[in-house]
Amino acid sequence: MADADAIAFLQKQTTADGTSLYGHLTRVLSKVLGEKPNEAVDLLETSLLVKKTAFEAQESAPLVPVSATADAAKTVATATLFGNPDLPIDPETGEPIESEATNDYEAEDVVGNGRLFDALGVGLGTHEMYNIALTLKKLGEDPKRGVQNVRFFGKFFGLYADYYVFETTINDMPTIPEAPEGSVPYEDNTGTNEHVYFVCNYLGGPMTQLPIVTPDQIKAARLLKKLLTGRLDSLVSTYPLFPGNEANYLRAQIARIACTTVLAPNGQFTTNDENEPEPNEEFEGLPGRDLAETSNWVHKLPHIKKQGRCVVHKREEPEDDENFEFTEEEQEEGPEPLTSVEDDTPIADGSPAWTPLYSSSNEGVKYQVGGLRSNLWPGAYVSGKDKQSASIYVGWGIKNAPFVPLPPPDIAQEFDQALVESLELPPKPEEPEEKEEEEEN
Amino acid sequence: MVQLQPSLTLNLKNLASHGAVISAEQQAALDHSLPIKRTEAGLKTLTLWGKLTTLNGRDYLVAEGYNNPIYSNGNVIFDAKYYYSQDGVRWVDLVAVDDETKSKAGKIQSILSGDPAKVYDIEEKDSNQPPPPDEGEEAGEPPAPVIVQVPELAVLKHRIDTINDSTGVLPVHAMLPDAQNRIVPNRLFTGLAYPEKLESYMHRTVAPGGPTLAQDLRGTWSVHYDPFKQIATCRSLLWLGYTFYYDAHQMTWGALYHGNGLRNDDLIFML
Repeated sequence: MADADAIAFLQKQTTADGTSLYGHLTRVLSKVLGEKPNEAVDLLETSLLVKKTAFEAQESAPLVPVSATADAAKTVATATLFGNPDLPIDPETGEPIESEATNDYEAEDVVGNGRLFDALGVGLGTHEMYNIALTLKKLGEDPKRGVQNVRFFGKFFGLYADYYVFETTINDMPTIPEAPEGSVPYEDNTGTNEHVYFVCNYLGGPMTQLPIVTPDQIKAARLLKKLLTGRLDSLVSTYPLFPGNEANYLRAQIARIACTTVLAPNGQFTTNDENEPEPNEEFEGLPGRDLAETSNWVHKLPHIKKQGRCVVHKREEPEDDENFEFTEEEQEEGPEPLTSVEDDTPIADGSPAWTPLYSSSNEGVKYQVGGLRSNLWPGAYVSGKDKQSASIYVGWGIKNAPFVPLPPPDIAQEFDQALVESLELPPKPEEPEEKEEEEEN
Repeated sequence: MVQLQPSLTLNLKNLASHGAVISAEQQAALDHSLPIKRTEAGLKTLTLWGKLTTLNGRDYLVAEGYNNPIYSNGNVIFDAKYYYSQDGVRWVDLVAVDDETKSKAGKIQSILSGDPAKVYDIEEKDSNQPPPPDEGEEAGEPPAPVIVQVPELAVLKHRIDTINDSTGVLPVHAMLPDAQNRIVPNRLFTGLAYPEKLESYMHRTVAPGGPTLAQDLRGTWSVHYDPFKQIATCRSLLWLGYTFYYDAHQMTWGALYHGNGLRNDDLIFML
């Protein structure tokens, strides 16, 4: 390289602020010669110092970091869950005004359950569980919601936001609308609609009550494999079409996950005369290590049938039709309530449906925690120790099953009439009659 | 202060809410067992890479260690060593798998068993058999397939390698090649200008200044960013369970994998 070329290369303005290596080396040399430090060769930082202290022709950085209030909203919402609320002061007496009576509710020990999950290496960690416990308290105490019983169901990951889901029963259970004629009726606050679910996108944030689930939504959800977006009102853009928006889809997935993975230790519930589960007062709990065995867990919630209901709905048998037969769906007989998970069907590749989990690799350690991990719904766990037990779901809402997309619908028939040239105008469509319209609606 | 070493404590703290949790006993054990293994193996860095779930509940904890990544021919070569442990205490070397075993291990699509001694049987066409006769001739019985055995640990290593190929996220400009072509942490890293964008993150194996996550297959990453706490998380949708976090305030980052090690092949239907 000729000298002129080399100098031209060094003088090339490389960086965005228009300096060149040539200029930089000049300034380094003049600084070193000006200050004459003892061990100039060791002071590589000089080069850096010259570069960093060079004048930058740009607006100076703000002294205090700026932060928009809107950005802080989520953090502030979670922070306000902690501590005692400040009571408003009565301006006349100067005494704090008594707050409104809070709602009485029952709940599981979320933080304690968090410790059970921590011991097994599943769940969300102690920090998050504490925030969840306080969010649950806020939901339970809210007099407008009138919650009787609340449990933390789990966390669903979404593309843009996550969902925290709370499973409740409330004083005023929603009124169930009539199903359209000809379709399977909705379950009336039993079975799949036994619980009301509340979701929020961040802890301490606004709660939304999820709609009830209908049998056709559960059936449609079984054909799909779809990630959640994190916005309840977004479309579920799939084929086959899903009847409803993401809130309905999330609710259908919750129903499917709950019936398969919400478990109770064997013996905590018994069935009464009407074959319905009820708490067993004499239950003494199981040692943690035993709770890693599938034979010690039972399904707490009823099984959802192919029809999309927990209790199969059978059409009324017409008297005059001899050829009437119930469909396969209507004849399905599911397992008894509180079936042991020991007999759960293995997942598609033949692996067992549940995996045992222990809190310690050493059998001799006392006070252990045991539990199960679902292989069918990755992210579903149960954990227990003595009388305490809990179920949780932390995942994407995706079932671990081979997915076969439904083939597209049949191709529509071609127009099969001969195409004849004609000078006549096409016939005008007849005015639709009022009656027909009503029927269509 | 810029992060110079991966930090297990910070990873676990920041990624727990994304489901990357390890048991209390294992966390306690790792505090002791990782430094012991690091010294034994003579490694500069040894940290928890993630957890692969198994069928028998004895999940594989995987640790990754390396000395100085080398920059050569436009690629960053980490030459990482991998170790697995089922109790968080004893770490066992995972040997590299050759290309032949790789292609066989890729055919196994089930969750790992949790028994390191298990051997998987795969049926393969016998390459030594004569080719089947052409059409027209009497078609004989198809040649009996040969049973090839693949050890579980090879499958485990293969899964770690394939996950690393499409993850291994770093903030751009966090690592730089030095004069000796070693990849070193950039001590002058000033943070990312747009932490909410995929353009701010890259795979650690590509050259500095090379393609970012934005050039990955579209839709394979989901980024969340909290502008107040200044924490971004990138979750891989192709490898559900891989989560990366970047804390712009504390200037730390890290990633963990917690899953069954299987790729989400149905992603195209799920978006």
